[in-house]
Amino acid sequence: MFIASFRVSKKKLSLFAGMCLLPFGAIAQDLNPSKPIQPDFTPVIKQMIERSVLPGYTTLQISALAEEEIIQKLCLNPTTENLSKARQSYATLVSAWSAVEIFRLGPARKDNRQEKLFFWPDRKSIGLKQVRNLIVAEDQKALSPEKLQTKSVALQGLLALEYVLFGKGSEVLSTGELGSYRCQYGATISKAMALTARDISEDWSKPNGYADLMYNAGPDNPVYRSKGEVMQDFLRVASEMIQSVRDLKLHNSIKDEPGKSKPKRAPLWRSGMTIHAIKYNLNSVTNLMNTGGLGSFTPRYAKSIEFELKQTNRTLTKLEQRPEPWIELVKQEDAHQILSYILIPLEGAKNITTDLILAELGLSLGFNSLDGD
Amino acid sequence: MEINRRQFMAGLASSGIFSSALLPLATISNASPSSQSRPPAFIAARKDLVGQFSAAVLDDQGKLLFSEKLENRGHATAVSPNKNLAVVFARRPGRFALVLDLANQNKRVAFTPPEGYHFFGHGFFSADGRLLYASENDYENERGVIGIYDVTDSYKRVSEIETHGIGPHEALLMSDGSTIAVANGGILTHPDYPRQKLNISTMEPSISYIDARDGKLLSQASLPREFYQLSLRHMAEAKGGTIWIGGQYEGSPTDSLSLVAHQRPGQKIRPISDPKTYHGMKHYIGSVAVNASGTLIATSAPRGNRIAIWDNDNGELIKIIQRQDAGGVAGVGEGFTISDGQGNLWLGEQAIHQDADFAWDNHLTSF
Repeated sequence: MFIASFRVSKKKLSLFAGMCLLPFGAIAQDLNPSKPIQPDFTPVIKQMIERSVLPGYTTLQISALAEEEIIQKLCLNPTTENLSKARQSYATLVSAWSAVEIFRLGPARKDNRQEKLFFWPDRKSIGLKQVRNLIVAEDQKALSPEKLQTKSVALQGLLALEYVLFGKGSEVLSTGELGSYRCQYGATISKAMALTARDISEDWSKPNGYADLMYNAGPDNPVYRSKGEVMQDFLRVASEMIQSVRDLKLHNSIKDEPGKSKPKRAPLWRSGMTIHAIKYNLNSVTNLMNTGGLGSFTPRYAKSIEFELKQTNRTLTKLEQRPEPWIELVKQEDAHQILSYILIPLEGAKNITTDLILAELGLSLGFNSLDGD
Repeated sequence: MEINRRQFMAGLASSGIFSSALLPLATISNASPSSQSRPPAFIAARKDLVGQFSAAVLDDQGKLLFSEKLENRGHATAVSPNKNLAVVFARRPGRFALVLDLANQNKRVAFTPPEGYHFFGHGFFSADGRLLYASENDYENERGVIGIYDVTDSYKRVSEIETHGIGPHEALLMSDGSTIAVANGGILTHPDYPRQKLNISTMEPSISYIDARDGKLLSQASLPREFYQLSLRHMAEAKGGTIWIGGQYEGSPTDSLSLVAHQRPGQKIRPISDPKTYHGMKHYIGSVAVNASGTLIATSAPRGNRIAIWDNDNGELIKIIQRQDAGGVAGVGEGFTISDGQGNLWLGEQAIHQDADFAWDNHLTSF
């Protein structure tokens, strides 16, 4: 199946090459007299917010609160079974986060909320050291969700909770004292995540909030001068999500050969949920395209993206079912080869999002605007 | 570790462990000077339709004199005081610097920083032209430095200066000939995660003033705390030694703040103009340049498709010029030339160079 996907991608690559032969001026927004007539983006913007963004954060909030409740029970009754439940619930929380990780815009960029929910990459394990030190010091202030939210971003998100539940010493949660600090801290992180998700959600939906800013794009709008810019932002985050999965999480971990792989560069290896999270990341792109309607103006490209990402996820599911944990999996010759193949359709999907859809909608960004320095 | 003058000079005289690597020159110049050519006046990096990167040198009328291929995307250029040499730096996290011979209109040599370092894309020559300074990332140690290269000795890396900040971007030699001003953008990056910003929640942008003679920090200035996510990246020195700074904001897109600031000698960094002035600039200033007399400053906002012109005397906005995807600005006489992503070079309302097969990159240098 992957070979088929690869062939489709190669065809598209030749299409990209054709696109590249257009003069820059011919695809730049506003300067081109023959640019496509832009449709009314308003209904789709509304649909993306109402069907993708807001439900995503609601699910995250619910999942985080559920995790808090389960960890509270674990704190009161530290058993293997209850730890197992907390870890299972963590998987649900990972799914919920991975579905909204894509929305690194607007309210998620306020007060470092994106980093609060997911402090990654943590290249020198600075965040991890902070979490370890906090647990050793038993800082009581970190047991208040509101106070935890004012502390380092590394102490209050998904990866801090991962260390609590799966990291070194986590077995004490099932055998240790009632109401141990580590356990209470885990519950507090969950609650803090729910509060952050709520804050993001409210900033989207409140009167004159971010959704209203998008609906009322225009020359006097402080963020969006046109609905086209709103569409550009959604296409940008979709493209960045695919790129993050491809370049930062996968390629950066597997490298070019098994012996050179660096599996711990990917997030969530400690809990064994690296692939699980990546699948939800990619699903979030197809969700935004289909349920959200981002791909509705360019159905051909939306179908291509869906095809590439579904193929990728089917392959990832097969890898996920193997018994080896991620850090061993990437060192297996055959698994490494499969993961390397995955990079190809992901590149294709990213290019469709970045280049083809933007061009077809007449929204291409200029060279300097796209990625300056 | 503090470096004293003797150690610093010793460093300059020795090849040491910081030696840079010369690269083979596989590229071919596509033009040669003719006796009727006008002298070079502009240089900028660019990208063509198939994604090939190059650096192009033009005369004052916008005519292409020659170009050289680049192995990857270039960024800014340093021009020697005698205007015989230009050094094009790789865009971060690139590791090449290409030296162009402007007199003979060809390439001279290419070099790299030591292992564990990459360029940040900017640099400048010493007043006597003997040394080249480049902003660099000592990425394993998460330390910003200015690498120093001996122009007279095959661009051997002879020493380095700490910038006392993370992510130094543009750096310049001030008109006194001895003070280096560095914009520490404050953003931590590492080639393990290319172009990923690793410390958005703990950024500490600053401007450092360093004595080029001994590498000592003379002073350092930061913005007020509420602007901690305004990455200070590009700068130019105007009349009276005033440093004008352009920032790129990493915080909430709904925040309203000034993106341009200036610092008069010995004073605090002061944000310029009302935040409303910057609406539509997308929190992003791409370049800063001054005119010949240092009385006017141009700041480009390519994401907002506009260039602002400022008065150095009173810090007031003079006008805003609308130009699509225009990143490069360079002082020419008492005005400015602008380059854009559609291959145009604008002098006032006139496009003195047009070539839609190329997109001009972020910066334009005039000389």
